[in-house]
Amino acid sequence: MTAATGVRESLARRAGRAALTAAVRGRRGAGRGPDWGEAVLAEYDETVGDAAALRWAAGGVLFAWRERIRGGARPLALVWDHGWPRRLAVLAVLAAALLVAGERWVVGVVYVPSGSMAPGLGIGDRFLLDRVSYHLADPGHGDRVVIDGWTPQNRGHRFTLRVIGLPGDEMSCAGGAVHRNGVRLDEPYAAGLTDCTPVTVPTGTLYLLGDNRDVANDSRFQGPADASGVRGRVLGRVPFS
Amino acid sequence: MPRVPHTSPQTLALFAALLGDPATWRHGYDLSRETGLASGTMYPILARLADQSYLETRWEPPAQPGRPARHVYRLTADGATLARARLAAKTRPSRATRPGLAQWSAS
Repeated sequence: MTAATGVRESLARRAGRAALTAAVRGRRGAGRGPDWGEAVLAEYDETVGDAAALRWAAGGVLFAWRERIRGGARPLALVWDHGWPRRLAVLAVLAAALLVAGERWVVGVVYVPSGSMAPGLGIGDRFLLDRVSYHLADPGHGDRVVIDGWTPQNRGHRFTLRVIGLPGDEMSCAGGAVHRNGVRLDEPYAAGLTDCTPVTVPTGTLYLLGDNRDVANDSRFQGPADASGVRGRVLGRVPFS
Repeated sequence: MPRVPHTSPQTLALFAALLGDPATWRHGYDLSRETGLASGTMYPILARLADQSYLETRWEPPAQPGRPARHVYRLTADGATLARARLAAKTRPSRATRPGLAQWSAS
């Protein structure tokens, strides 16, 4: 202990002590907490090292909460028993947290900084990105995907492109049109003429093209993209964005 | 089917540690080290045993000024009896410790 040895406690140890003390004595509580909580707290000084101290504190916090609930404490009283303004504030914070988590892991809103996917998605548009589907199923022909850069040249950037070829597909171009396995693709979404080097799409990769063939930097120049970089599926443009 | 109380491996480990020297008052951290139980596992067991008068507790005055008083534990006579019985039951074949079967064979 600091007072006895004169050694300064590490940050982790101090944090553990603070958390355990708060759990035992209550946040505002000065003075002693219940006996069993104080018992765990009194042993905290015996722990050696940060890891042991934090383990002790974590178990003690859980135990102290259980004891308080057993003693009739209601854990949510602090947020719920002080009128509607506080309740609404708590609900607003929870809702905001849910929104942020949802945006991050479920459906995102993505800004379009380039014209690679015009005319469907123009510069300054926003679109909804489904971040869940590709955990369940693989991308298919025609999907618009968001993907991380997959070559030394484009790494660190994020691209929105359309899946034109899947593993095993033989891609080629003729007369300004893309051919897949020898069949000319009808691409109503595309703008401009397409020229490309023939390639068979390797396992684990996707052949990706931007809809705006005159400006897009895609698999024609960077080669098929590692499918593990796919971040989600474009659902559609946000209206009026 | 009701579970026989005080038969979990964690409780048995604690019984074994406390029976090691039944007359000695033990500190929580020492017991945790000896049994390998985390604080969040061990203290609920200690509290339950104390509630049921199987465990004596008291506050030990600090060894040095500035240190907190420490809570210490030892088994009561009832507690020691229970602990020995539970540890002995564990070493018997597992069928006998299964509550339902034990009740049937006893009657």
